[in-house]
Amino acid sequence: MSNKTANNTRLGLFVSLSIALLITGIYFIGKKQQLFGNTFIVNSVFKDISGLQIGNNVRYSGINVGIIDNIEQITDTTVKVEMLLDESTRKYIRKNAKAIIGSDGLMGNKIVVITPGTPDKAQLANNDNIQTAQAISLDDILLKIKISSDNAADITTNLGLIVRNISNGKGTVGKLFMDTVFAENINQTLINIKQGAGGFDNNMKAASKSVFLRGFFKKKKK
Amino acid sequence: MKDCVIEITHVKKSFGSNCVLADISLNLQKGENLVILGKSGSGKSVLIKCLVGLIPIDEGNIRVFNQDLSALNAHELNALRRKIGFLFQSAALYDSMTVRENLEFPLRISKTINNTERDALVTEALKNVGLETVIDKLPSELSGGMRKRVGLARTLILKPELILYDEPTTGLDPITAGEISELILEIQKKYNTSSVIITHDVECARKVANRIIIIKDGAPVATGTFAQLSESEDAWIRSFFNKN
Amino acid sequence: MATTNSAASEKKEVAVIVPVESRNPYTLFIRPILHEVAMLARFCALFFKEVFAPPYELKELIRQCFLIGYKSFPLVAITGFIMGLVLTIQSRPTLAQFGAESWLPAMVAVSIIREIGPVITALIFAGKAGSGIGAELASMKVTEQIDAMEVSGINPFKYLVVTRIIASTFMLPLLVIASDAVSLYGAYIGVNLKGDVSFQLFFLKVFEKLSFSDLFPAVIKTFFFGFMVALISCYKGYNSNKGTVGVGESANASVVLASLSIFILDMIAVQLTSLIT
Repeated sequence: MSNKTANNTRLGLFVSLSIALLITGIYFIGKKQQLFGNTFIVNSVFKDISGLQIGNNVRYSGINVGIIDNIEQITDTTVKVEMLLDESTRKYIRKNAKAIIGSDGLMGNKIVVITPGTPDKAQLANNDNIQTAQAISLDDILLKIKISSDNAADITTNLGLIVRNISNGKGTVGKLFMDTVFAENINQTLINIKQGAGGFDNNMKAASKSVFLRGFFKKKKK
Repeated sequence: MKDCVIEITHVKKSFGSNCVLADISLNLQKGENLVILGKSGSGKSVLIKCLVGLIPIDEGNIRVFNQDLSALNAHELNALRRKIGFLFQSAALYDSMTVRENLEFPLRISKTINNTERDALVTEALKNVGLETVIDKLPSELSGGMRKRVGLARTLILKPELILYDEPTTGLDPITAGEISELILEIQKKYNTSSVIITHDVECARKVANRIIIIKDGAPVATGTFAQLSESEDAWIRSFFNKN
Repeated sequence: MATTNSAASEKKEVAVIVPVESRNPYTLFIRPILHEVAMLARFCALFFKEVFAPPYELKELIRQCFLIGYKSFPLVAITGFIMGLVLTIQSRPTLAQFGAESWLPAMVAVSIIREIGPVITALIFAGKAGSGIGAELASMKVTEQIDAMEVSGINPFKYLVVTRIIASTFMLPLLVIASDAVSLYGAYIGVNLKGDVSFQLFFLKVFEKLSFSDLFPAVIKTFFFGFMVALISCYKGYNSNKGTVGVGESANASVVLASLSIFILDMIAVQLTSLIT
């Protein structure tokens, strides 16, 4: 009989421990989802929520302060997002705070980021609306990158054309590099200049020996 | 007949195309030890299971304590069954329970019994079969003969008016088998029960029977006392008795 | 007619309905399967009929909870621990390719809670408890213990089958939760074999990615797993009628069919979960 009691005790222990584990799990998951603490509601109206889902996190100063509670299409171009925020963060969020949709890392979940307002404005009340700022979505960035790269492509095409023209000897610069006659002319010119300079040198030597200019040269040597 | 404990009339039972009970009619008087003798596979075990409604019959009528089995609902059937003791071939002790728990098991339905009464009943039942010492053992620790006796104690605990024995001596050595036969007689005297004993053990039949019915291919072929039947003119019946 | 009696008559019909002489595939394969399904459905219906009607076998229920639940715990815990450890070790290289090793705890936790924990535990449970139930009931059937209960006026279905099915239905979810916890501990050790993550951080990371939609469907489906394992094992054991050979067959069939049914139920559960969330 005592054996049976012992078995029952063990069974009871096992059952209570397992149930305790389950409750712990529920508590910790629930804590994350803000189910059991004091919360307040904040609304925002967005034009585009970029795939934000109910349950996504809301961040303020990089801290998770709440979750998305509800998402509702209110007109053909606007979506109302209801956020459930932790009561303790209310004192930091001012009426002119702004909500932006961002994402958690490059491939992570969508989040709502609340940017701080200014301390001179009042605190948020329950069910308040806060303004939104257009988020820079990844698509925007990609669009910008595309424009830049299109431009870059144009530039490189033009550059290519110029280089081709140069190599074909078109225009002044092309002539400069590619026309052999022109180069020969320049060469000849240079030779002529050299010869000219040689003649000038002889003239100068002759001049230094001449009687009239001797004094001038002597002075220079000193 | 008022003293008729069991009345079977034209009972038929077949499993598929295999006819087990062809056409059986018999009755059991109060206080009588009826032995049903037959070869293995002659349908004896099926017959005895039909008597407590374990196997439903195809045709015919079984009345036990003047109640028609097929007309009873589950509750009435259970009430009737509690007046019948059934000793199974293998004793059918519950492996997971000790001897005490085995004996207490049939008592669990009656809520009127308190702990002291229950203990008294268990001890008494074990004393009847001479096995008070094994009360806290598990069936696996008992020998075949002991199990049969514990099984008998378990059937006795509800003080049945009718006891059905399914091959009580099978698988036992002749001496133990003899002891079991003695026990059957003893109990019958002590509690004034009526019994149906299914067996192919002629020795057991000789010891306990007031009346013997021989069954062949699902139908009774002869009825009588041991002495009458062993002197039978039918060679097949005589061969039955002359084996030993 | 009495429920116990009709149960008895159904048992005997098995031999009647399947004729031997026919050789076409329908009568050879499909009809026996359909027949088996129908019998199982009846068995299940009988369970629901008996489970609410008094008397309630509370003592036996607790005993079965102990035998089925508590006694399976060490096995389940060992399997759970190894699964957590191995899963973590195996997932690390793939995540490392993306430089996302910090996701390891969360990823392993989601796999364990959603899928690995319930299914592996249920399979182990089917192997341990299912075969046990199948073999025990079959041997009780063979040695006429079930008949003995019936003739002593106690409903064996209620005493043997109902208690086991209830015990299994409620014990498996608890086992799964316990196994999940041990698995996560195994995962923690797995993470720390090649990295250095504090228990606190691991714990935070695990719960960061878990949500109720991971936990609840997983827990709810284990009730069905537990029910199915016991239902099939009890059915196989209770209807065993081939003597000693039948005991082994029943135990074997219990495990095979129960394991199969776990996968089928799991598939249904996943479909339902994805419909809801």
